[in-house]
Amino acid sequence: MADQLVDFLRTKKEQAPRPEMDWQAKRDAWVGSVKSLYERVKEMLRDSIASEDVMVSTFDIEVTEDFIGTYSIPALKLTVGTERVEFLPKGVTIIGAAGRVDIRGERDAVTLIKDSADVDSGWAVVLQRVPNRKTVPLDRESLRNALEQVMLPLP
Amino acid sequence: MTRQFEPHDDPDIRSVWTWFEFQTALIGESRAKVLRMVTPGSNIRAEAPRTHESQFIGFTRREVEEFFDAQRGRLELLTMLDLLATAEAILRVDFKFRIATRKKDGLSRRFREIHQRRRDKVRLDEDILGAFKNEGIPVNDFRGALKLRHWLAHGRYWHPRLGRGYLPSDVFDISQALIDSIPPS
Repeated sequence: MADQLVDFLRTKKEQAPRPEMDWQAKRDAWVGSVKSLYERVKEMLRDSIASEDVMVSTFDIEVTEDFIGTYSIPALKLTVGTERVEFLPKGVTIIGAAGRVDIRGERDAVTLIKDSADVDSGWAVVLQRVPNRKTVPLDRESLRNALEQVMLPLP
Repeated sequence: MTRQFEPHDDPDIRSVWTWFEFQTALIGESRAKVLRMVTPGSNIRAEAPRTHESQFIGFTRREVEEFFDAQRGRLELLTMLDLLATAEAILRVDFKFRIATRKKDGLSRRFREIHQRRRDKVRLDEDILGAFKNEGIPVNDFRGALKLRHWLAHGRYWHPRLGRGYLPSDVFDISQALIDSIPPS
């Protein structure tokens, strides 16, 4: 008699989607995209960095994702006075976008999503998820709005 | 369109349970569908997401799972409230029936006495369940669940002291046991 449990699991495996994906290359491209994002952010903040209103540094964090496993990726830290804002990569295997980085401050967090897997593609700021998703391209204005949202309010 | 609210004179906890099972299945199907979007190569934008799905853009697998766990949790809370409210309706419909038909059994006599005293201010716990208890019908489990009902109906803004945990199946069983113990009139 055929083992129905074995048959069931074999059928499930055979029917499962088997994406042909070079996960190491995908991860490396993702890490490159994140580094590229940080360069863009630093460029947007160039004047503030030059005047030492903002201190910028990076540190590594570990991210664990399906298919890719655990890997190290840089996070970006902005220090403004005594307040910190961190750009924290969340992952590349996410829904409907080519990657995600959260901007986390002492008050709130804002999500950035990447438009496509191309390293030089744009990023968008998620303004609102419900009832309808609203995003705007990442630029100096949307970065300022994002920082205002995540940082403590001005007195 | 304004919804018409009308009395529901045939309350039934089994219909609540059927609704709960159906909603659970819908949440499960939606969860599986959204989780499939996390797999590489899937693109929610290419699949023209419905409005309620576009909120998942940028979600990791864990966030999707947490979202649907929360949906399931809220459904369970609403179901327990619906079960207890429906059980109360069954008890109150039975109370009114016994008053109207002037039966001679012990519970009907007790109900008539309560009705004469309290008119339209009959209380579920003290009056109806009190009469049940005086007739020797066990009510402790349902009385315990009324603390859960109170907490749910008033917005869950305090930490409840329920003395035990509840699942929808527990609330169904407790409610059904009480309903089954209603003596024939």
